[in-house]
Amino acid sequence: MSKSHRVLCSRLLLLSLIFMPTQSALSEALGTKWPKTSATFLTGGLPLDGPASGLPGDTETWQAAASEAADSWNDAQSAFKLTTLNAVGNGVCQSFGDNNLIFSQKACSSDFGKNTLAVTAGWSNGSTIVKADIIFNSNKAWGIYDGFLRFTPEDFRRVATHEFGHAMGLAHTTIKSALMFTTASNTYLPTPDDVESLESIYKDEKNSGSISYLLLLTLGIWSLRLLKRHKKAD
Amino acid sequence: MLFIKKFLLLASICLCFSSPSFASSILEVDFQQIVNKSESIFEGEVVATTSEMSADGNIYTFVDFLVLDVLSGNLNVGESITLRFTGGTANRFTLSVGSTIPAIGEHGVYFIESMDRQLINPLYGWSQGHYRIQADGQIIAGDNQVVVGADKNTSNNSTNTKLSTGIATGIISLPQQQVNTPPLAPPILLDEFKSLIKDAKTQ
Repeated sequence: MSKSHRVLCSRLLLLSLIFMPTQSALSEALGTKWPKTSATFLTGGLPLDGPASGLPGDTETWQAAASEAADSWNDAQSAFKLTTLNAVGNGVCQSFGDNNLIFSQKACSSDFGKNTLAVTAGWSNGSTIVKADIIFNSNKAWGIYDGFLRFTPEDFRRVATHEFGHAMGLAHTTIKSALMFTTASNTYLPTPDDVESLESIYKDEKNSGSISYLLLLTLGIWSLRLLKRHKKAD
Repeated sequence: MLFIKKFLLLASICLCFSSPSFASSILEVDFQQIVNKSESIFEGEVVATTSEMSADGNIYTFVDFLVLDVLSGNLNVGESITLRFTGGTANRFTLSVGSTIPAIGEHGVYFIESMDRQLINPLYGWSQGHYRIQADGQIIAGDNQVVVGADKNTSNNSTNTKLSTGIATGIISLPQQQVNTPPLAPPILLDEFKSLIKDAKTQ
């Protein structure tokens, strides 16, 4: 191989690495993503009623609160669309079926343990998310309320919004004001940091991913031509 | 020719690399809690792991530990115990609930919430009850934080819900790159960590 070929190949390699369609460099991405930029979660497994703790905002149903949690993400960004449907799904904790939100005393046939509020059970095939279930620990006391966070009851809508973030592919963040920060706080809506993290997964993927694959395809074709030339020369 | 092969191999590795993981909402616990509320605490080494899809469709990873030292509970040095974690990879699928499942060869200190109940994660407070020991004796907690101390008097007595940051309150830790940077505290080693646990247990 000539020197010019080596230089060209090195440059293409560098460009491909720069635009590689992996997750963004932000620590907030989990490394998995949905194949499409939308997902539907079924809320029919939640009770029809709502809490009765007497707290402000406590007048709505669990299902309505789950829809509000999804809508708070949809209102904040356009990179990923969450839809909730009031229907009973199947395949909870299985690799097939619907994406579900449920209350349960068990988490995927196991006990939650003393310190687990909710579990997002995500199924993936390689780096592609194929299904997610959000399971709330019904052994805990839950309410629905705005404003400052209380220890009891736990705020269902706030935890649901946080878990939706995980279900879309977000990990915890180190930004204390963000919804995806590990400590539940007075934040109950996605913040600009949360939105930026989500967009980095889905918008960057659309743009840089296609560029990267194009570069790799070009390099592949170029490599094959080069091999043919070498064979002819031999 | 060789260069092209190397490039294609590197590109394939980069494209295939991923680390799937979900996350869940776990309450924060403190050092005193993990010591006093754990059913058993032991130093051990992971000698085998097996992931399989069960008849109910879940994927479980069974982790076999060789018990090297018992700090609390009804375990015996030299015995082998198996803990079941929900999650893992089997039949092409990965199920993740946000647990860090101990890997084969791992040496650590483990706080078990219960051996009898089938918990989604058998460690107390999930990663808050999971400490890896490096070859140099340093203790690693959470997401690659080096433990430099443990304060049994720092309690998690907030009136608000606090979700776990991955490390129990009272465990003092530093990012790996800040370790041994004066005037920050140096890392504690295994024997000191075990002494702190035994000391907290007697409180």
